[in-house]
Amino acid sequence: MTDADIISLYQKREEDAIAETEKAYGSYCYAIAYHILRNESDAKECVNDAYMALWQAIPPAYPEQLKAFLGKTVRNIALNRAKQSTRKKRGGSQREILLSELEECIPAVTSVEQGAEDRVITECIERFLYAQPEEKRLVFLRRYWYADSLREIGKTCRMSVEKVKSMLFRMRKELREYLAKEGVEL
Amino acid sequence: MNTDNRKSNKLLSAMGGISDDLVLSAAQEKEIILRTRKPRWAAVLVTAVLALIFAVGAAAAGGHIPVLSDLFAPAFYYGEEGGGPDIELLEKVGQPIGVSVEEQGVTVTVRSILRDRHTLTLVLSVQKQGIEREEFLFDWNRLVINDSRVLEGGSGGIGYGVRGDDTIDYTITWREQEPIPDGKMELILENLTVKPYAMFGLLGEKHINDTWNLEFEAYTEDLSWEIPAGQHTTMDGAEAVLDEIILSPLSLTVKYTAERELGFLEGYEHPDFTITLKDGTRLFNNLWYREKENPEEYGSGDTESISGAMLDSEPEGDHYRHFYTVNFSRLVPLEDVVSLVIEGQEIPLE
Repeated sequence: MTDADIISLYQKREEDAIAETEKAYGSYCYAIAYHILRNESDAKECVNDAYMALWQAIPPAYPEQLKAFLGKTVRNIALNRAKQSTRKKRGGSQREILLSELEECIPAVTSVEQGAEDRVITECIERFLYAQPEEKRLVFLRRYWYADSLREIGKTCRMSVEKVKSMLFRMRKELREYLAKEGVEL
Repeated sequence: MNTDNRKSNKLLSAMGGISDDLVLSAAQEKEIILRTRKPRWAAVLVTAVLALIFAVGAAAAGGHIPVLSDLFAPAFYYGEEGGGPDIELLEKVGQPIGVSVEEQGVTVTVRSILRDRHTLTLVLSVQKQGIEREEFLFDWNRLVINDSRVLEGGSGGIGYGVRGDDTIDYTITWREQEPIPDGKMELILENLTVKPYAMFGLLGEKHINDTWNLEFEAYTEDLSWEIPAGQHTTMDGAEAVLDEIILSPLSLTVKYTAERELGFLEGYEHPDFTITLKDGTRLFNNLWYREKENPEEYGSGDTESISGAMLDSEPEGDHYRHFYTVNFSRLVPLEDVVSLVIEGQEIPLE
């Protein structure tokens, strides 16, 4: 079934809409949630919440890329759940680990003006990523969008964990310099 | 720190809004979920035990079947009171291996591995006719992990266990600043010297020049506990800050910054630590000078609780960064730790 067919089911409020979504993108959504939460039942709940969000959004929304729309929805839900989680884990949650790493990308504050809006930051990150070679862009996205572990990235990209780590380390430094050069403050 | 206010939160959130094309460009055709591989103990244990039986030879013929604790025992010392490592904990941080290679009449068997973030210990047995109770060492050791990470020059030592029957236990421990991964491993041992200290090499020293290569896979859990750091202290009169404290059942790692270099050549010992367990057992280092400084508290009945350590330092600006890691001579269940004191500083354990 194509994306257009699935969206049509939502628009007609047919119950098969969610089943077809699950069939097409269930494992993709689950993987995103699991990589962030590292917990099976929490990840499944997030995916279900994402389907509900889709049901409520369509109509009037008409996602041009259903997979990406779903992925972003699941990601947001999972990140919010991770933030609210009160479980104490030695070594930190995956979200905490990613936040710690991204702190290295924060440029020094040069003025007291309010930090840039999210959209400005997003566009800046997009320009930075589009300028990267494909392999580096893939590694960065798998880490900070898909929340893959270093080992998972190594397996996907066929490189050692050490190489993944050093690549991400250099890219975080480069992003920091890029954000500073663009005058983006957080 | 209130993580909601962290600027990195904004970055992580902003990443979520990037274009669909970018998101999909990194999507996998089939998303991979890698779960932590638990050691395949059932199959590997049988292999390890069989390897021991073949390596031990005569002892096996006499009916002695090695038990699980034999595979790890050489890496630990529980003192005169005896005892041994908690098996459930061993199953997480260790794995039986059981691979052997023979060159020029010397059979080396990798019996087991113990690994945490900064240390890796291989327990070996070395069998050679007439080697029992003789000193020996391999001139060089190298461990290649996943065809990329290379650990060299690990500390070798005769294990605490005495086996007999032409077989000696031998352990090699690597201590590294960079975290040590698990996965596919290749151990390379070069050139065996027997009785290396005999009469300055003039009498009795024998050399077997060869290479012993062993390949295996090992997957263990890293149970390292990152304890909140940042404490200020004084070491040998120098101001120092504890940057990171990492405790695992196998080792303690302390990274600290000091206003000058602190090391053996500067007349300074390793940083003092004392770990107290809930049954009152104390683990500590630097016994020789603690006995001198405080004979009431550290008596002749005490023994150090470490099997080896490494201290490294490098300049950073006008300070020195230090890296100290020490292996315990027993397995330490972290839930039993009630107190950790480093250089006189009680470290909060929450």
